[in-house]
Amino acid sequence: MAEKVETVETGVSLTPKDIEMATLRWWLMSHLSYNYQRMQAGGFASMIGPIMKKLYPDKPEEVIAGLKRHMMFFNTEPRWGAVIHGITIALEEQKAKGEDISEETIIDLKSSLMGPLAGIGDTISGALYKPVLLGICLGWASTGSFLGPLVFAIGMLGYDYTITRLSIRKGYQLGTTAVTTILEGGLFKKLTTFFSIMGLFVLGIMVCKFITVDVALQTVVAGKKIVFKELFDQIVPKALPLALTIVSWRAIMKGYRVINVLLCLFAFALIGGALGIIK
Amino acid sequence: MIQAVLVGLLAWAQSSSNPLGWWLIREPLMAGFWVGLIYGKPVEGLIIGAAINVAFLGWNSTGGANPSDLYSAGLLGTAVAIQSNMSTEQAVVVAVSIGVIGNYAWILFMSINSMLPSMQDKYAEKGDVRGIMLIQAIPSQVVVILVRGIPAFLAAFYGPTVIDGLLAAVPAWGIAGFNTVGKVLPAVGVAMLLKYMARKDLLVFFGLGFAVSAYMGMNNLLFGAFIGAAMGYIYISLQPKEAVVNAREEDEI
Repeated sequence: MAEKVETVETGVSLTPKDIEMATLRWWLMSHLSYNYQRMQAGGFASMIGPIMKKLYPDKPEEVIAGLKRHMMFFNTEPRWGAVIHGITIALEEQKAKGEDISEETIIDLKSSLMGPLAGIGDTISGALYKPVLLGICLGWASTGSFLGPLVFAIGMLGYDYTITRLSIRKGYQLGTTAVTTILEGGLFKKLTTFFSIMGLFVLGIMVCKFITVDVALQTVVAGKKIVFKELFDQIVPKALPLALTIVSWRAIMKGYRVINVLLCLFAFALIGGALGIIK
Repeated sequence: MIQAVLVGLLAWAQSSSNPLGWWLIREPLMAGFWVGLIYGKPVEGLIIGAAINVAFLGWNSTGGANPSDLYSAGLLGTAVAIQSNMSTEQAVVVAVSIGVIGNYAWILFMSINSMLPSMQDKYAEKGDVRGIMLIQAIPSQVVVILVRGIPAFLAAFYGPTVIDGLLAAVPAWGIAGFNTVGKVLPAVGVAMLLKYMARKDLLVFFGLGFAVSAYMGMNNLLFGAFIGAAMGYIYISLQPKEAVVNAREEDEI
């Protein structure tokens, strides 16, 4: 493939600015028309549209074909998944230069990568990075400190744009090899292990900090007042919040719908609170 | 009235489906702050928003299993709570309840938008990039105003009266139960997060975090994050290469 690029000298080359603008378009527009029919297809087409126009200045039929193939169903995690966008841009550029790349290759590449990259991206962004940052910021915010929203906004916006930009650039530079590097480089596994440990440790603290329910029950036995909370606190303090968390978690893992778990907790707390057993 | 209009506009911006809306307004922590600002009580709004946010720790944007809608819960929960002078526990209960109804706004948004790709196809046939981008950006904003902005305005304007009436009708023991619900619901948030994060081989770190906090009363989360990061670093440094690779395959519990 590499030699062919040298020999075919026709066509327009994309500049770094084109890639930056495509990044910005995707970043701002990816989900604007998010829908059940084709998810992010419109966002993808909006991202690559101007690039198609630049690649085929005097071939409107190629622009049309390009827009049509990029209006197909597409859905991935918008930050890490943007590697696909970089690769697609690179492929479209080579195709425009006369390289023998079929329409099917591009379509297959997009649809085969969007799932795995969504898995990676959702794990890192949604299940690891955001919760840890959010947990810390909630700690500040719950005491009324404006550091909470400030750090969260900067931390998330910075992360969102940086990862999107890096993904598109890496994808464009490395082409199809990029994904293999990401999927098999071991970096992702290390990253998820690292974030999982950090996240789980913080989550353990959150159980004590944020679930503030406690045992209210007390009774008088033989003239002696027994406060159950004090008994529990001597063995495992915060045992009730921990138990509620574990039971809910196991129930969700067993396949109970979250809404039902929520309703059960609701009923448990409402009755327990009304009877004065918990507070 | 003006404040309710501002809440409606905030709801529009919050749900406009771009990173600025997601990270500056969507999370209840952020929404609470802005709503607080609108009603002249930014600190109260922030504290209420943070409390609501805990119940939504495990909310995931990929859709599907969310029992309650993050967008409306934070924004409208705070708007109603701050006007009715509720406790943070009561605010959490009201917010989660609002969010259960709010889930339909998301479904409506996605459904109505499903007409848009067909319109974009027509522009693709003509090679009109500008047309595709206009359809991408504009019509869905009208949808957001309809399914998010206007309902938010109505809830912020009429909500407090309705909720005040309801609360006034509830007896004292009911209020006690209500407050307890607010203290218990964060468990769902933590449990959902645990579902995403938990790996059998790493679950000990959850126990460790809990034990340190429960027995020592240490609940500084930033400090916890530093300790957690250090432990994570040590763990992956000591891990033999094969073991790290295999860990992913067998981690589902």
